[in-house]
Amino acid sequence: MIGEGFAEELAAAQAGTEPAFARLWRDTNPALVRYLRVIAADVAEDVAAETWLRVLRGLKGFRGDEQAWRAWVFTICRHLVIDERRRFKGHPVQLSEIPLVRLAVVPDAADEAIEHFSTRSALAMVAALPPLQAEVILLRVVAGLETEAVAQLVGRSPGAVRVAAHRGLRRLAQIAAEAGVTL
Amino acid sequence: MTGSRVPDSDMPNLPWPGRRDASDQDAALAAMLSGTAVPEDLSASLRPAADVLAALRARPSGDELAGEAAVMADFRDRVGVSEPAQPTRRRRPSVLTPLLSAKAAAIGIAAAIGIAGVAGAAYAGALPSSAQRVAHEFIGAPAVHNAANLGAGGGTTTNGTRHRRHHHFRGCFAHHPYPHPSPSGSPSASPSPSPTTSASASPSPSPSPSCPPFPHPTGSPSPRPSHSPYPHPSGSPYPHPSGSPYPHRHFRHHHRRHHHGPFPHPSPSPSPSPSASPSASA
Repeated sequence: MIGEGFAEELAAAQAGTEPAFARLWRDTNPALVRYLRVIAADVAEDVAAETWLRVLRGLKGFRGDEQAWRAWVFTICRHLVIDERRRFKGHPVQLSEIPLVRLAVVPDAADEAIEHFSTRSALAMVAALPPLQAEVILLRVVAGLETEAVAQLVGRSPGAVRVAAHRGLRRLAQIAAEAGVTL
Repeated sequence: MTGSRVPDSDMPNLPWPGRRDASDQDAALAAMLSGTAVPEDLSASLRPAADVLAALRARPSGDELAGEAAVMADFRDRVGVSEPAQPTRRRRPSVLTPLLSAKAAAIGIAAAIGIAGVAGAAYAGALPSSAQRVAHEFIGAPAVHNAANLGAGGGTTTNGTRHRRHHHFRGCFAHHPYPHPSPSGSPSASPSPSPTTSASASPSPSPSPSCPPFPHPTGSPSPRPSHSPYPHPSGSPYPHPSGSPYPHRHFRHHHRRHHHGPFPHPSPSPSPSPSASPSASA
């Protein structure tokens, strides 16, 4: 998260300053890729690239703070994922209907040597959750969105989002404990 | 159960341990999700989840930052400005100026052609009478009657018949010193030339063969002698195929022709009487 300097960076990017937009991209794209690697791992890179194309189209017209910026970017991304799935399935689908990608829970030896617990392993554990819980946790933790923003994005009430997040965290703790992950 | 005889104060108001744990756990989970601070007294069952969330918030790896060059290229194409804004503003007039000058030049050329055409038409006498009058006043074009004479042969205007008629009486205007105003002032509707003119034209040696020597009907002073200087072979001074000594059309046209002539009529009578002419000629 950029924080207090976000408004200046956004204004500069909207005015056409490339370094300012690069800072926005470097701050947002990793979260976007992590989110996509869980909910649409097979098309993550393509959807991420298309998301930024859409963002560039509407960049000059965007108004809002950093929370709104992230909510906007992830909304575009989520709609693209739904469109992608609809194209293959032939009928409208809810993102929660999409089975999450099962990543390898156990990291390889090199990663284990470098890091006790890698981001890739964490994403694999999140992917093991039910779709709604996984998405809510990713949007709350990775994207940094508030409960209300997540509720608006996924089309649920804030209470339902809160319950799904808490249940997902408890389930995630169980998965991590079963995988032998300890601090 | 202690029964109903036990006072209420004997029952201790104990909190519900399960509910308190649940609320504490919810607060801990909310703190974990917001990432503000992990509670110190986090239960051991939730610690693995806290580790997973910390890994999710880890610094970006290299593959997550791949593709920056492509996105920046798109940014340059769609949003980015490669130059400062000032030269762009300068470029705008340089594009507009040739367009404006070309438009102005085209308008100027069109206006010049139009003015030249109108002026040419005015000097050729091809303008309508009102416009011809204006042209006469402002640019010295021929007056309406002169313009009519000038344009007689062309017949280019809508009143081409009148032009042809004036062609026949052009000589009359030149030699007749007393123009007579028309009583009605309306132009004749007859498009054909008067037979008088053709009849008198062939034998007469007059310098203006289309103009017979009309004496003034009122007998007013005339520079010509009362006798005809051009004796007619038949003896009649005014031969007319119809037998009338004063061709009606000829006379009417003749006088209408001089309605705006420079010579005021000496007599108050607006139209000559046919009977007056023989006496005057006699």
